Amino acid sequence: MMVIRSLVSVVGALVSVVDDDESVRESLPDLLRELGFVVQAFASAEEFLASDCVDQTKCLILDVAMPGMTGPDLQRELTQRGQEIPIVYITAHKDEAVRPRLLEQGAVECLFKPFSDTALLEAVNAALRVAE
Amino acid sequence: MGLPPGTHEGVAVIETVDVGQWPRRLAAASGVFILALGLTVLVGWFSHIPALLLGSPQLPSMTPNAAACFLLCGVALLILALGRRRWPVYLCGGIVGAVSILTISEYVFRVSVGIDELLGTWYITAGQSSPGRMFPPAAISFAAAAIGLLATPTLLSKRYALLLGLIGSMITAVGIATSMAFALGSSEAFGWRDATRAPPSTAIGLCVLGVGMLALAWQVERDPAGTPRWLPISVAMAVATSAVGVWQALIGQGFAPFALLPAVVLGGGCLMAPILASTVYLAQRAHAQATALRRSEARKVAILETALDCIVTIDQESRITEFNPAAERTFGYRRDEVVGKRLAEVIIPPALREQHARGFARYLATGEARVLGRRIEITGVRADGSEFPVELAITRIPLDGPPSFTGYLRDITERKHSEAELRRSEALLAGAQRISSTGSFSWRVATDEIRWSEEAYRIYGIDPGVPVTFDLIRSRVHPENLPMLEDVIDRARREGGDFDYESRLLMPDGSVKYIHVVAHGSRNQDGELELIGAVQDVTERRRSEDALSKARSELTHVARVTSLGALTASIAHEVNQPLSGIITNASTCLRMLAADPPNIDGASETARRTIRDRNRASGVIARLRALFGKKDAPKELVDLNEAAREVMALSSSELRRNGVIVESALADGLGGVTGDRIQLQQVILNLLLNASDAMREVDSRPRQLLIMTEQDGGSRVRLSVRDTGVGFDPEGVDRLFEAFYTTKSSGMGMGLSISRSIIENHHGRLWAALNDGPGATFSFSVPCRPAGATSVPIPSALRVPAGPPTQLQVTRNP
Repeated sequence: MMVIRSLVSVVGALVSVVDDDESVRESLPDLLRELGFVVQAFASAEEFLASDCVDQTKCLILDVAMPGMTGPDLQRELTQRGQEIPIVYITAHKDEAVRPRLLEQGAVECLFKPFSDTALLEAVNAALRVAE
Repeated sequence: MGLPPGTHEGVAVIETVDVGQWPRRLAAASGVFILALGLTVLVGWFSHIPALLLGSPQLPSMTPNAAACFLLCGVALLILALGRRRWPVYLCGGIVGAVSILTISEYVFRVSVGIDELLGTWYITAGQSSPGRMFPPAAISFAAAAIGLLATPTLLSKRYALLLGLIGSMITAVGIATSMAFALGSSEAFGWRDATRAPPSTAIGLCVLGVGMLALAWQVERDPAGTPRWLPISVAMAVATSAVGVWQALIGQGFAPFALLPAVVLGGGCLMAPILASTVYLAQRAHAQATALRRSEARKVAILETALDCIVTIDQESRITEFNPAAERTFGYRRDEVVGKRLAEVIIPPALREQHARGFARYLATGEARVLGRRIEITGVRADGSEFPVELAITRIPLDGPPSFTGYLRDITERKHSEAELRRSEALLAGAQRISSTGSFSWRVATDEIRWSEEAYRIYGIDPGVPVTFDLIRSRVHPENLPMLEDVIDRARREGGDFDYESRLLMPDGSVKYIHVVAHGSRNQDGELELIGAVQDVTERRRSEDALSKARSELTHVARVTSLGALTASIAHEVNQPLSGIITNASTCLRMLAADPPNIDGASETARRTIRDRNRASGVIARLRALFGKKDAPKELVDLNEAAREVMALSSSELRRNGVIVESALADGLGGVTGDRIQLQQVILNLLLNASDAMREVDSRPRQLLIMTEQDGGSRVRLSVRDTGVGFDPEGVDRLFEAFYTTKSSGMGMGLSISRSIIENHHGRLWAALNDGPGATFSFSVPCRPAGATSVPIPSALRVPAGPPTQLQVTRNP
């Protein structure tokens, strides 16, 4: 964690990935790092909340459907705690009705899996702009 | 005795009339006598034997002409009495008439035409003024007899009897008067100037001839009341004729024509004639009336004795004057016990006696009748005091004098009992019909005579009592159900079979009623076909069924859509996850390779992860295939008929809702199919529902669905579902079985595709063909074990061939 905090202090932007799917947790951070972000991956919302990365995170890439606390649950939890982290939702359920609802509730973007690297980059950048 | 109105007892009195044969025998005997007389005299003349002339030396003998006339009249009389042919009668009458008329002419015109010598001249007695000429009254008598004989009609009638009676009585009178004159010692009866005097034999002959004719007339008259109606005239004629004869005889004895005695005889005779005639007439009438009265009395007694009804007559004091055997049986009194007693004290219960007395008194006083001429029901009381219902009709006997009455009474205990039973039974039935909303009906097929119960009228919404016709029924049946109604009627007329169907009624207020009609045909006692059935108002049931079915259908639909949606999402999710990993890894890999310097290790790592994710995706597909693809379903031996029956049972409600008439022709002895019973049933269900859907828009013809099974060669069985629906475009027959191909607005197009894959999994074939008529037939054919192979395999030569399709079930739906 210290490493991350120091990295963040250098680069200035921590992107956290919360997804129960392991292949996402493996592949997505690598791509984000390739894109130049500092990335931390978590397997569940609870794990993220328990970490000390919450304050540092400038962009949260969040899976919608997860066992236990879901993505929107985490978003509400953060709002309650007064921590407004820009959120980019990712979901494998291609349900067009979900996206407008999530955006309305404050998400920066909602990406349907599989998504392209450029779409991801645009979403993260948009989130970071919001964070500033 | 007049029967009161409404008394249904027919009275038949049979009277027999027997005049007897004596007049006929007397006529025949008379005929024989005068025949013999005439013959004897003729023989005497011809053979010159004076003894046979039957005369005395002092008196003239009977002339041959008179003898011949007697002979001929005797023959004619005999023939008439025996009822033989008529022409000899006419012949005899003609000859007798000619001879007598000519004789009379000779007398009248004082000429001689030679008629007297007709039979020869040798016998004419000299010394007579007109030798051999017939006695004039005899000639007149013969002329009259000839008229009688010549007038004989083919069929002897009463008018002829009158003629014969008058002639007969005249001749008899002449004969008797002449004979009497002889008896008094005179031969001058009917004497006239110098005319021939009468011989005694002629006088007797005339007597007998007259009596014979009278007897014949009597026979013809055949009046059962006794004497012929012409008798008074006969008597008058006879008396008058006799008086004239006696008068003549007296003159012949030397009396002056109008001396006291002849005048008294003639005047008295002429006076006596009408008096005697009227006396006879009055006697006749009295006798006829007495006879009629006797008969009427006999009839009355017969009626009274044999009547099934009690007949009681009472006088003006209400005392019983007649009490017939039926009354004796019914009330338990003997006639002699009650005659003379007051009616009220005998058969009217104490409680009603006062009322009876008042009514009777009122009638006597004012003539106002409340019970006369009507049928009323009252209570009667028997000798043992028991009371019972009585039907009573009273009439006043139409006689002058104090009024008397006849009462007709009938014990109606049984009838009342039956009526009460019937009413109770009818009430029970009506109540049951009302509660169960079930009406009953009968239909005589030959005459189209239809009868409805009250409840049936109520169900059809028609006023009770309106004559039921098919037009009336058609006016109520829902237009969409009319073709089916006609079909049912036709079928019943043709086959006389039972029917069981559901239909709808469209009421005048626009509401719709659902009815269930069941009928059973049978022959009534006249051998006519009659259908007896029940019609039940099932609207309520149908409404709840509909609601339930709709809810179930909606639920099924929701469940299907939800599960499919969920399944789709889950499949997509499962596939999208690894796909996402693959793409992300690939992107990362590309970036790592494009970096300067390229991050080979990282790229290798991400490439490895790509491969791993692909494997993961493959795993998902494999799982899906395991879920939806070939599963190791439990194989069992499926009886296709049994499977089809189950499906028909499951879907019958749905099919009925769609107005589909389901018929099945399931062949016996089908071989079993090894496979998945549930899947095969899904296919059958799918074919049935498709067929039903194909007929959804069909209203112009019956929606008929036929499900058939049959052996398809030795090793396969075939099941076909035939409908009368809209069919399909022959060009697009192959597309029918493609997934997502549908011609239905509500379908998803999966059914036939899935069905075909199921059948193919069973190594079978599913295909569709258009019918010759409307609609299409979908069939599948699958391999089977040899028929009956579940136990011991039967050699193919012994195998029972699949027989012609038999109709097992016919269900008729609206």
